[in-house]
Amino acid sequence: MIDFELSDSQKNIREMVRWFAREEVRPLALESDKAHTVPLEFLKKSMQLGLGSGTRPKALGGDGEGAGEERDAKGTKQGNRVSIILGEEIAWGDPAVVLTFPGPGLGGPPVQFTGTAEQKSRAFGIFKNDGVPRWGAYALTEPAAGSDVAGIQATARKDGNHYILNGRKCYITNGARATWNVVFATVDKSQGRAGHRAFLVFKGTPGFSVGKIEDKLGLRASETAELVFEDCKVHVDDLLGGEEHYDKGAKGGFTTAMKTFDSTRPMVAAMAVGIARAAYDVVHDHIRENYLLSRPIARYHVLAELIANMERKIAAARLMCWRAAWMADEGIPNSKEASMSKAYAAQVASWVCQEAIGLMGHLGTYHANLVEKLYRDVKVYDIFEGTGQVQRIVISRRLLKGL
Amino acid sequence: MISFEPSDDEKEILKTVERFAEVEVRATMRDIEAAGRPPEELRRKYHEMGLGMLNYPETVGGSGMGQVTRALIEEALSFGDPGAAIGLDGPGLAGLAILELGEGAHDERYLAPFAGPDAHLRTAALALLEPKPVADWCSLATHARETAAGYLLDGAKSFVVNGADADFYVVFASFDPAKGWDGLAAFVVEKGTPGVTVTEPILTCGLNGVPIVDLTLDGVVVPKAARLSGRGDFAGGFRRFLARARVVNAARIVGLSRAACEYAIRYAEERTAFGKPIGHHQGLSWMIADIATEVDAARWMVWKAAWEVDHARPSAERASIQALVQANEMAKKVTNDGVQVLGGAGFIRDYPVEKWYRDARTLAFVLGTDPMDNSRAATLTFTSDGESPLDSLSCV
Ligand SMILES: Cc1cc2nc3c(=O)[nH]c(=O)nc-3n(C[C@H](O)[C@H](O)[C@H](O)COP(=O)(O)OP(=O)(O)OC[C@H]3O[C@@H](n4cnc5c(N)ncnc54)[C@H](O)[C@@H]3O)c2cc1C
Repeated sequence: MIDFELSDSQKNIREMVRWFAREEVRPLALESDKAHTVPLEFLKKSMQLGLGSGTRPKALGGDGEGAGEERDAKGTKQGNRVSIILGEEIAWGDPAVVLTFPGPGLGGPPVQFTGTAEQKSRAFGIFKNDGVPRWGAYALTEPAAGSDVAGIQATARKDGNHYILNGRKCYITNGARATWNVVFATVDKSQGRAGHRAFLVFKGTPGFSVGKIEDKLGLRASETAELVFEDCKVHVDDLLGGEEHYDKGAKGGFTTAMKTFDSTRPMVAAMAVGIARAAYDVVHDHIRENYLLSRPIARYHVLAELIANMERKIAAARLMCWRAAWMADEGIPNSKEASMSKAYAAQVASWVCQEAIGLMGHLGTYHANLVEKLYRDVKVYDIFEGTGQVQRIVISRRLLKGL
Repeated sequence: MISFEPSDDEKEILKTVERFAEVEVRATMRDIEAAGRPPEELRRKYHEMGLGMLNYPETVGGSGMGQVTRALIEEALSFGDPGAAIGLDGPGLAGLAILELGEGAHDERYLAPFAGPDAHLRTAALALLEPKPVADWCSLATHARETAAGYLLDGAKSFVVNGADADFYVVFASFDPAKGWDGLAAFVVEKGTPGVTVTEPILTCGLNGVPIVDLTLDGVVVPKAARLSGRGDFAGGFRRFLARARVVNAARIVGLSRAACEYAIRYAEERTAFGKPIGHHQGLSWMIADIATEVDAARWMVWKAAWEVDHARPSAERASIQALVQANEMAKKVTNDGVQVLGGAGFIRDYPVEKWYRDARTLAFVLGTDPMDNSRAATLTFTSDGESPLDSLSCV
């Protein structure tokens, strides 16, 4: 039955997170952007409040057991829907702070999907309710391979009970402070995707070090790191999913990377919707205060059309996210829809932020104005988790035979 | 006869300016950004090259060149860095206001020093915009009142570009919003005038290579002679000033966008993914074709508007708005796609595209907001003589 109503419990969670985003996260937005660091004190405080309570905040996909596991009374999975509803809310509060929340982060889904029971308990077991923030991270991108995931150069060489990792990862969110990273490497470049392996690499493993922390256009409260692996020795027990996983389907490692996207892309898209809504709210108030029914008539119409288009596109983007998440919950293959939501929402959010500044003019460019920050933050939503172009490749390949 | 070929003189100047922009400005744009203004040495060189007073009359020591030449040069400089292009331009948009609204004595007192010794140390700044958006130019909240001593000014101005320690500001204020154009005026407020408070440079999204400040005017008294009355036609002078200022600003927007576009093209040739240069994938090659096209379209609109200004065409005002809107629309797309072409690297400050992305959306508002420009263009579309049936009462 088609239904666009949130369940009562979803509404409750949304209200709570909306409150949290407004009262706790938003006041931090400008300050943490300026500080250019992860707001640790805030994170500890919110963990004490029971939000993100030692595990991953609900808004980032669940309770430390990874995304998609929550079920409603009838046993239907709800996790993806819950995640994106909350992702939008927290990103509305601040799109950078949301990425700093403790928890497995983007590392959660691959562990959830392919990790062995033992690996899951080791990886997720670190997220305790002890007030100490801990992170997981996802390290796929390399200096020479981003969109072209199959082209990763980092190598894994088997040596007895260990794998020896060599290579570099870049732009890894929370990678430097993570207790563990899910690191992708290849055992044999000639095998292409079939040679990919994913490893759980714990902080402090000899041969693993952190390179530079990036100075970025936006998302400045979030830490983006370069990771370096020099003869880094990881035990075979840390091969995600164990050897069997790579024996059965030839492309086990690559599939892990791709499957992750089916749930993370709608999530990232939902955050973009949150950003767009945040920018929309600012300009909406600005128009109401300054321009409502004002002359010149032509400008009144320009503004009216702009704000109406913003609202409409945001609503459409949200529905794209909901649909992709609904499919994930229902177990329906959703790669195309996940990519559609991501490509569309990122584009809408970029456009809204651009126009929001345009509408506020010079006032919108001041650092004291939230839209200035959102304009800088939003750009990357069309880049990470697959660029807009990569999403279009995914979509069109599923629409056009033989592409 | 239609031609897109710069004159020999222009080509000559352009060659020098392009070199200067490339070697001296572009190469140091991150330093200029960090310092918040172009260094004195750079300003000296700029003046030695004779760029300071290019389109001012020879009577005040200028070179008497037109708006077209100015547009070419501003574009080239802004290709180097838009903040620097503004920071190096001593009289700035304030100078253009004096040019259109002042009289002989103003020119002598305020413009001529920019051609004199130590001209490179002098700056002037336009104080037009305010902390609250205005319905139209005539309803500026900054208030002027005539007194026995001169004029009394009260109010606040924001986004005063290159205003950190200007020798003077050209402040726009309203006597009486109900009087339309006749209620509006401009005043020169000299450095050190009591009652003027200048903030520290403000952190803005982009355009950080030039200091941008806010002003408050609290019981500021200026002499009668400080008023720029447009030689009897304030509305006409103000609109001509805006037309010139828009052309300069739009040319700068084209310059920085061209920089972003060219950088993206080079990057797309060098970076590979899926076994070939990323620019060879149609998703990017089409995008690149689009942005290169957009840059050109805006560029020709700017040249045409400059030409209309030079020829005092009645449609120059509308052409200038169209050029500015076209340039801003183009810059939004081009600088956004410029970041996109670099992927993750585009988001990192080690690469220049993120800067152009910020600069484009800051430079856009030196003379107002997007909807203001758009609606002004719409309003003018209905008129040939400047009076719109839509809003004949508004000073748009
Ligand atoms: C703030 C931030 C956080 C990040 N966090 C993480 C993280 O936690 N973990 C992680 O692994 N990665 C992370 N990344 C990396 C991100 O996922 C990559 O930057 C992204 O996938 C793009 O890869 P790239 O940067 O190598 O760009 P490239 O792949 O070099 O792409 C450059 C351009 O070429 C285009 N392009 C490439 N191939 C094609 C094609 N076939 N057709 C058309 N166009 C094409 C792209 O769309 C893009 O416009 C992060 C990046 C940033 C900026």
